[in-house]
Order: sequence, then structure tokens, then C-alpha cells
Amino acid sequence: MSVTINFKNTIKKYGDVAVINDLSFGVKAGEFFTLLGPSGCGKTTILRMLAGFNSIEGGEVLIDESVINKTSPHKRNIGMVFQNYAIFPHMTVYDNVAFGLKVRRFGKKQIQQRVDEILKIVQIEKWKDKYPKNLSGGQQQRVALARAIVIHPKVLLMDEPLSNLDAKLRVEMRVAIKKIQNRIGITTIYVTHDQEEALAISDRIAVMNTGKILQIGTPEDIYMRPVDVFVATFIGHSNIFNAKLVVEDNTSNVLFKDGYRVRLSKMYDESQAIRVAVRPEDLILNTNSVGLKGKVILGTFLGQRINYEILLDEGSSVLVTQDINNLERIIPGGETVYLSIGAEERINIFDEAGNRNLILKENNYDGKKS
Amino acid sequence: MVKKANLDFWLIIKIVLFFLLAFFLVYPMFNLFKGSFFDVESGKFSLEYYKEYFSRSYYFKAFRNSMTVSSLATLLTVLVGAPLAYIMTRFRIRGKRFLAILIIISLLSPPFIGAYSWIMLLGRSGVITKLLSYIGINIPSIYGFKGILLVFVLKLFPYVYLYVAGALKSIDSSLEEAAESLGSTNIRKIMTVTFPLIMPTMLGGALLVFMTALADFGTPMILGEGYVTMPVLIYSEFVGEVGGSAGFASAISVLLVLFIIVVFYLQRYIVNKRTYEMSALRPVEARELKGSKKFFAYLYCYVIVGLATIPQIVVVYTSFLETNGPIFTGGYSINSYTTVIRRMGDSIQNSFIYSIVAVVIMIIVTLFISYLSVRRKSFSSNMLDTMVMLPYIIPGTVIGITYLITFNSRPLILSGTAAIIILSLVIRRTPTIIRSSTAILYQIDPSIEEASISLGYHPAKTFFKVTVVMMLPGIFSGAILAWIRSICELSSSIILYSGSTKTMAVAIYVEVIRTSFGTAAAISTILIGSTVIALMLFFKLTGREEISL
Repeated sequence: MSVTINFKNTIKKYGDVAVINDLSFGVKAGEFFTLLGPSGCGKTTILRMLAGFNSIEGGEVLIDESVINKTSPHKRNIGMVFQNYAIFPHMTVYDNVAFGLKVRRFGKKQIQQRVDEILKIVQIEKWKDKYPKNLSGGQQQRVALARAIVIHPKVLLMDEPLSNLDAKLRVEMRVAIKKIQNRIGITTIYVTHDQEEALAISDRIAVMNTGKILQIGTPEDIYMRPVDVFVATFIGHSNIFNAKLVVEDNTSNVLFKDGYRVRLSKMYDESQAIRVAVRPEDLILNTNSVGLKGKVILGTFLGQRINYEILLDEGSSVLVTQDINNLERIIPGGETVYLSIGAEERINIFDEAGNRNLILKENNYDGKKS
Repeated sequence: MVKKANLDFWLIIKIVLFFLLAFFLVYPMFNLFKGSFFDVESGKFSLEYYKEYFSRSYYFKAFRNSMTVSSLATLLTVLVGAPLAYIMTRFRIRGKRFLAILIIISLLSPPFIGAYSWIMLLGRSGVITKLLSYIGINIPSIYGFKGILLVFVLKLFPYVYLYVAGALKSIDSSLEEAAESLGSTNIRKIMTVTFPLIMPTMLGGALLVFMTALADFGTPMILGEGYVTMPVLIYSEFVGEVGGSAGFASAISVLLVLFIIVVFYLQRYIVNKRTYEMSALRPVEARELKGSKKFFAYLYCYVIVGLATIPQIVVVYTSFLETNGPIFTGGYSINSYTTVIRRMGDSIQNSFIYSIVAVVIMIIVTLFISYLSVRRKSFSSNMLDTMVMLPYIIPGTVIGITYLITFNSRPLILSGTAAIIILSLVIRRTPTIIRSSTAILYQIDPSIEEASISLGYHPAKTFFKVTVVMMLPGIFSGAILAWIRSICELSSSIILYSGSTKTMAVAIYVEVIRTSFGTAAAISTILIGSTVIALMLFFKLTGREEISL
């Protein structure tokens, strides 16, 4: 019953400027698919092309097998949840949710039954007769969600739906959204700039920048094997080192600036200048003179872990995270420490420009691979 | 077709609006312009009318008179209104709310009531004049320049008051506190911080006073007695008993309109360059005054508001006096009312019907135009908005003669009908609602409409079911103001009315000219009563006791 969505060589222009150029990707039936990227990267534009609020200047957008480029937005049967909820302030919760059913000419009984059912699912049946202004942000968000899914749309679109909520509610709501989506099994496209939210909620994520999709994959894939330096630094934190890949004597090694060497298990063809991305949790602090030498600038105690900002002798500043369980003491500022790589398979190696992950065979994001 | 589906509906609306504006605004204005350049008899192009205007000092004098009395009135309203606004917002004055409401009522009551009330008090046989001459004091004549100025100042200072009070309330207390903590004295603080911040707004209010004074017809007509201003000149040249000339009146109108447009854009240019967007999180709190300062503050507020309210009081009071023509015979009665209802019931009915029909049309036009100019921004939408705002600065007298010249002949003959009066009201007062309506629409997030569309409602259906429903409460308050203005309208109806389409304002004017003060007062009281009720409705709807114009 769920549908697939396909963008084929899609183009969006504002005047003569193409903000989305020749973009293709596919969303599987029933999938929770997230467009993630910094603001202005074009993710909302894509969502609005699908919803019909932005015109499409080239290519095709398909829901299942049918091209929807020319379908009026009110005939697309797409449920949309807006960033500011867009709840009708002059209607009660019940009327808001029933709004889309009324135009579909359902009988009164049927409307009532479906509204009640959906209100129960999103857990706001208590607020049925209230006006939106008497609801909290989280409750309004649930109304918006209920209103979008009660019409049994083919596709559910959500445009930064949690960005107006406070941090705690955001986490609570994203769990709720994920559960409801699971239960209904509707194909969903979700837009956010919050990488943590994207990792937590998605089946697959498309990471975008400047109108292009850089990588599509499961949250684990993208976190573990980012395709380029942008993705590596945008998703979670990565420390980026300029280094050399040295291939000699049937071994491949990463040679850091100050002479620290890490042997790789994978073989490479030739020596070259590279950039290495290492997550803060993959750097191990030691005082045994192993690894990169540096000085602690500041340790920040965060409860479960401690973040250290460390200025390396080679000149760059890095972030290291230490789990509270491995803690012997909090290292004071000014002390000299050494940083070694914990597990070589967890680091990522990019070409000198930072555009290609040398560990991955190809930067393929057509969605079929995973 | 996403675009097409939306466009079709709005394109039709846009075309219809353009057509209506072209026919009821551009075409008449063009006619006026054309009429001023072509000789009526020969039909040939001629600059004769303009030559005539500039060759006779009598005509040019009208322009000088208008300029003098309007500029002086503007200056004085600022000198009266700005301090009043400062005292009323910054200090604790008992009865402040009441005073503020009186100020608004005096601003919104029919403009010419002031003129004839003051005649009843200070005119040749006025109550005060007689009283004073009885004890041997002769006061200067109320007629002519001085009287017009007096009435203008008392009638129009509320504009300055409302603008300045609004600006003062929008100054966050932290700004003035910052000035104080940096060591500014009180006077210095006012001159270097407060005054510069409210300056642009004050200029806006002053411009409104100037425009209103320049365009006012009733006051100089009733009080002028030889002191002829431009609107009076246009009117008398147009309907003049000694061979009125439409062509000549047109030429004067064109000159007046051109002058006003220049002033308007000049002012806008100056003000726009230095307007500050402010909204106070914490407005400055009113302080308690002490001693003589307190005495003078109270005296100032109560005297000014008292003077502004006198015309209303005089009118209501005299409406209950027993009269015989211009003579008050002593004693009280409701005879004036029975006379009015017997003889002028039609006018009352007309006024209500015309103004209500006009306001309904205004609301519809406004809904469409503000939607187009906010949601479908384009060159043509923008042009619609500019066009519909134009009559805001055109004097009513000019609109009146323009309409009569144009719709006196084919293709559309409307002269003498109710339609021509209603249309002139719509054209003149739509600008009053449009600004507030656009402001409301800017506050409604477009995603609310998109939500409705994505839920399956056609864009046109969405407009009526969601957008309009959300805009209406806000538009209603603007509509009430437009209604008050419409029901009190004189300057264009006086030209456009015929026997059966006489309105209350026209009836009052006619009664005043016939010095039938009792009946004039009775109709005026009905008119004032209606505006006060409307105003109370406005306050109730908006939940505030202030208006923004």
C-alpha cells in the first residue's frame, strides 16, 4: 500500500538560477527518509516541489509510477507538517483534524470515527474541543501531525517539524513521530538541519549541501563512512588532519605531520597526500609518548564524558572525548598529552581535496546499494 | 498545473480589479485632466483655463489662502498635539482614558460640525459674543481666516496626538534609561533621544493634518465669508450661480492634485529616510507629577480636550432646544427631532444605506487587493495597490466634480443616482482599510494556506475558507473607521447628490446654510450618536481604546 517516490533529473530554478540542478534520488515504500543539510542547501525546496508549492523546471517527480509534475497541489493527496505547525487558529483541534476529511466528502459519522481514531494515536483526544492557542507547542505539533495523516495521504512530508520545540520536548516528539510512522507505515520525507535528530529518526538519510545530495545511506553508514570531508564534519564531529598515505613494502600507512604512523589493514595503490577524519571518541589520550603530542587547553566535564580541547604541537586544535568509565583523572589545562588512534578501521581517509573517501569504492548514492 | 490552477482564479480577479479601477478611477481622472485642456464649446485644445487661473489674482489668492491656513494649522496642531501626547503618555493624569476617547470622538465626528458650533458660540449672534458685548467686550470676528484656523486646529490636533502618542508608547524604557544612565538631564534626554525618535512619526501626523486641512471643504465654506480656499473655489466655480465652468474647475483641480502629489512624495521621501522600527517590550511608565507641574499638566490636558469637545456638546445641547428657524425661543423640546424625522427621514436612511453598501464593497475589494499585493507580489499587483491608494490624497471636492463630469454622459450615466455616491465613497475610503488589511495578511503565515491546499482545498476555496476567515476580524475594525468616515462624508456628496439622494451630511450643510440651526443640530446629533456607537463597537472588537489611522 505504501508508495515509492522518485526524483529524476529534477531542476528547480528561481529566475535564471538553478538552485536544484539535475537531481535524482529514490525513496522506498514505507521508508522514513530524511533530507539533512545546512540551511539554504535546498532540502525544503525539494520537499515543496513534491508538495506542489514549488514549480518544477525540469525532470520528473514520480509517486509510484505516475509523474506528478503537473498535478495541482490540492490533488496530490500529500500530508504535510509545517515548521510552524500551520494550525488553523480559528478552529478547534477536532475541526482542524476534520478539515481535510470534509473536502473529501466523507459522511459525518465516518469523519468522527477517523478523527477520534487519529487523535487517540497521537494522544491528544483530551484536547479535542480546545482551540490551538490553548495548546502547548508539543500538542500543536501533534495536531498538525494528526491533521496530515488522517486523510490517509500517499506521502507524509515534514519540514523541520521539531525546530520550534525546546530540547527535551524535541527528543520526546521525535520518538513519538517515529513510532507513529512505524505503525502507519507511510512513506515519509523528513527535512531537518539537526544531524542528531536525523540519525535518531531515519531509516535512511540524504546529506545535502548547495543543492546537491552528497550521500545517501543508513545513519550508521553515514556516520561510519562519510563520503567526503563535508559529510564527516557535518554529521557528528570529526577532527581533520592533513597527512600522507605512504605505500611501501606491501603495507599502507598513514603518516601524520609529526611522524606518528598508523598502519592500515587495507592496501592502497600509491602514496599521496590525504586528509584523515578521526572522531573525538576514536582518539585515545595517553601519557606514554605514543602518538600526536599536544597540550590540554580546556577540559569540559559533561557528566557521562569529558571533552578535551587539545592544541597539537603541529599546530592544529582537536577535540577528544573520554568516556567517564575510562577515566583515571581529569587532566588539567596546560598538561602535555599524547593522542593515539584507537582502531585504525574507524578512521576515514580522504583525498587531498577532501572530496572522496578512499576507503569506499565509489561515491554512489542512487539508493540501490544499501 | 500548479501555477495555472492558482493563476486562473487570481488572474481573473486581477483583470476584473484592473478593469474596475481603470473605469472608476483612471478614466475619470483622465477625463478631468482632458477637460482642463479642451475648450468646452469648440472642443479644441486650449490652455485658456490655466491662463485664466494664473492671470487673475483672485484665483491665485485662493491657493495662497489654502496654503497659509493649512500650513499654520499644521504648525499649531503640532504645537498643541505633541505636548498633549507627551503629557498624557508620560504622566499620570486622572481621567486619561476618558480624555483619550473624547479626542478620538472629536476627530471622527463630522468635520463641519466644528465650524457651525463655533458660529453659534462666537458668530455674529453667537451666545458668547452676545454675552460679552453685553458687558462691553467686543471679540474679533470668527469668520474668515481666524475662524477657519481655530476650527482646523481644534479638529485636527488629534491626528498629531494619536501619531505621537503611538510613537511614544513604542519607545522602550531602556532607551531613555540608557540616556539617563549616561548622564543626560531630562531636557537633554528629550531633545537628543525622545524627540529624534518620534520625529518621523510626528511628520507623518503633520502631513495628514496638512492634507486634510488643504482638502477640507465644509469648514471654509461655512466660516470663510470671502476667505476662499481651493476646495471652495473649485466647488463654486463648478456649481457657480454665475455660469459655472466645468473646464475651469477641472484646471484648478488638476493644479491642486499635482501640488498635493508633490508634497506627499516629498514628505514620504524625507520620512522614509529616517524611520525607526521600534516596538517596546517595556514602554515607559507614567510618572506621578507634583505641585504646580501637576496643576499645569491637568489644566493643559483638560482645556485642550474641552475645547475640542465643545462643538459636540453644543450640537447635542442645541438639538434639544425649542427653535423657530434660526431663533432659539427658549425652553427645551424634541421638536427639532420630529421635524428632522418628518422632513429628512430619507437623508438618514440614505446615509446608512450608502455607507453600509460602500463599506461592504470596500471590504471585498480590499480582501482581493491585499491578497494580491502580499501573496502574489508582482509588478501588476503592486500597481493595483498603488492605484487604489491614490484617492487617499485627492480632495473629496475633486473626486466629486471628476465623477460628475465623467458619469454625466455615456458610456455610463450615473449622475443623480445613489450608485455615484456609493462609488465615490468606495474610491475615497478603500485606502483607509487597505493598509490595515495588508498588515494583517503579513501576519498570517503562508504555510497556513498551504496546509489547507495540501489537505485538498482548491486555492480559491482556501482563500475563502481560511484566509478570509482569518483576516475578517482585523478588517472589521478598519471597516468601522471607513464607515464612520463614509457616513460623515460631505465634500464629494455635496456635488454628487440630487433631491432623492441627499445624505445626512448634506442635509446638515443645507440646514446650516439656511441657518436652521435646530434641525441641523438634531441631524448632527444623530450622526454623532451613530459614530460614537460605531466607535464603541470598534473598541470592543479590537479590545483597545485607541485607534491607528
